[in-house]
Amino acid sequence: MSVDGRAAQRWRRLFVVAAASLAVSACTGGDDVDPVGVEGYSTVIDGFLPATPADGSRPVVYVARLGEEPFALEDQVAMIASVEDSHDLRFVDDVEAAVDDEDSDAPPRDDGLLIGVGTISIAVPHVVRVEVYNAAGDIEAHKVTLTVRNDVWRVDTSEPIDPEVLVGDD
Amino acid sequence: MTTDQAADVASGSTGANLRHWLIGPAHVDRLTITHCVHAAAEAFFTVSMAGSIFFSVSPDAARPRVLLFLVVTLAPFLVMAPLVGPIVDRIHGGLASTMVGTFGVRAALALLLAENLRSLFLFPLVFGILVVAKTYTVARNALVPTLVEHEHDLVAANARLSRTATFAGGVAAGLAVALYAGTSGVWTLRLAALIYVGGAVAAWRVRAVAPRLEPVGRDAFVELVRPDVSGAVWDMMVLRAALGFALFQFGFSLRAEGAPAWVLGVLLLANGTGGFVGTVVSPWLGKGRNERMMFTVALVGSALVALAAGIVFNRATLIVAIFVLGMSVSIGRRALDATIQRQAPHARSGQVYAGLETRLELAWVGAACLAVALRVATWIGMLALAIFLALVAIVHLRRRGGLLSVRPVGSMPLADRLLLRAETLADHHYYDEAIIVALSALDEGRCDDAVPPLDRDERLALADPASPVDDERARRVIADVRRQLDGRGSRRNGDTVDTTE
Repeated sequence: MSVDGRAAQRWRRLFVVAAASLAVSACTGGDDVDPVGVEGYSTVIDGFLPATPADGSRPVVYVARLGEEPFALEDQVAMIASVEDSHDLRFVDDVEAAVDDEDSDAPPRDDGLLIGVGTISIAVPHVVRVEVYNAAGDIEAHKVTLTVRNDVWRVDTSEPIDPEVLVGDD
Repeated sequence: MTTDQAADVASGSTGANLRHWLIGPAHVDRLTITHCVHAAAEAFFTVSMAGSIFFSVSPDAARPRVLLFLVVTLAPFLVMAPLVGPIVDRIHGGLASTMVGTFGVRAALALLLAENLRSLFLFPLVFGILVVAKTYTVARNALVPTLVEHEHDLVAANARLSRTATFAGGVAAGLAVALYAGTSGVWTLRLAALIYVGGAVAAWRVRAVAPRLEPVGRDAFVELVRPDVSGAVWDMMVLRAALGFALFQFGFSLRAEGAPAWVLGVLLLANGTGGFVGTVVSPWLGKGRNERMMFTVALVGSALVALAAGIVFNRATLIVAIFVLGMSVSIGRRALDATIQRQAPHARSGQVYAGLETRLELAWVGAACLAVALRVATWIGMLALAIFLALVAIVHLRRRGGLLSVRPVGSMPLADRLLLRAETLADHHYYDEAIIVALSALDEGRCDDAVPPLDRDERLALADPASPVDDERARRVIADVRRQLDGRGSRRNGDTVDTTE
């Protein structure tokens, strides 16, 4: 084999090793599972979903994480699948991506709704902040308490509080 | 082309002329039809993605997975291409068979994908289709030179393939959007699978006319390192990288900014339209066999437009920039084909061409990986693209200036050309051949001076057969020959002075 051939083979091996390392890091890095699990968050979101219209269309619902790490890809896909038949759930990294800023009221895009979800506390009682955004001046916030029995999550109470995260600058 | 077809075209029959313009002469026409089916199936596949889970999950969550599959699916491609290439060359109709296989695999993957559009299996299946599509591109581009009747038909055949496939892809995209709006991404994908099956049938017909490939000679590899050819390959790699970067950078950044799926569709349309316009303007730009000028226009043009779009950023300027980039890639492709056609005729063989195509695809993939790994706004991505293209355009212009200052190879004396070839052979570790070619250069130089060529003893003394045939010996012989040839030049100059006096 020529020197060129050996050099090319070395580069190829190096590339494969780099690819394998990247593959391993990508597999492990993106799959941090929330200790509460996807069922808890699905239960919270379910409680704030709008009613399905009579024409059978699926309302668009944007979901953003409130000041925390984004949901893992697997959790997002599981949550989307759990309401697939009735709602079009879309996850966003930034709230701005879900808001139509060309409209003076800055409503969510596609006549949708934006739900911001905090982190469910691991300790009992399981509490989470939820903010629901309809337009710039129409935001409501809730402190939701959950209970879990036999791995089944239920909303125990939902107490109105002042919105903080989705309020924006105005 | 059959005699009847040739007569029709020669007699100027409108139908025959249009047919020739669209699908080309016999043999090539089968490949054109196959490529049109490929473009149609890809259009259905792309439109169906609007209904996939990718547009429901957050871009940042999807990034690692996309990066993972970009690397994991393309790494085997890098490793396998050089190993599979020679095998494919030896099989009768190997390249066409590869194309049949790529259609079959894509049909199966598309059917699987139709059942998994809203699950995590989307990622491996989509990237599976992507890598198989890349394999198809490599095989198809390597097949074109073997199907054209004359060497000088290569550029026209490639331009025709691109032009007609753009038509077919455009029409198919319109139908796919209508089907998607009326049904869903699932049915759009199922129809894509059916079209892929049609593509396999069309590719099978190409197999019947694909010639057995000749073994590749060293000439092919030596030709590829000529400054013009290697420069053209480098320029094309840059353009392909720019396109790969743009596709993934804007795909992610626009999603992160909440842009609807139709904006991405318009960008793909702008890229395709630019590619089509590129095939139309390329013959005009390439008049006078000026391929370097074509690359200059492509690189400088796309850099300037990307810079303007980065500074005055909005959706309109973004679309214009992608249109110009698509056009530049198309112009670059025609320029590369023309360069290889003229300056590296032996590199037209399947194996060499496939290797070259693999390099171009890997440039695309490398840039796509970078774009996915970066997490920047669309306008910053556009500026990054502009700076990259501007830097490369400067390097290209400097190299072009250097090349222009060098005397054209064809106008050099034969002895000098042989010595240049000997150096190239030595650079590629063909030391024995380098020594023989260098000695031939000396013979040629002596003939020029009306001095008898070297006799056996002189030749042996110069070649020094006692020492091993290695780089050092080859370089020594080349240097000795160069000294003798330079001495010849000095003597000539001296003669001239003497005569004047």
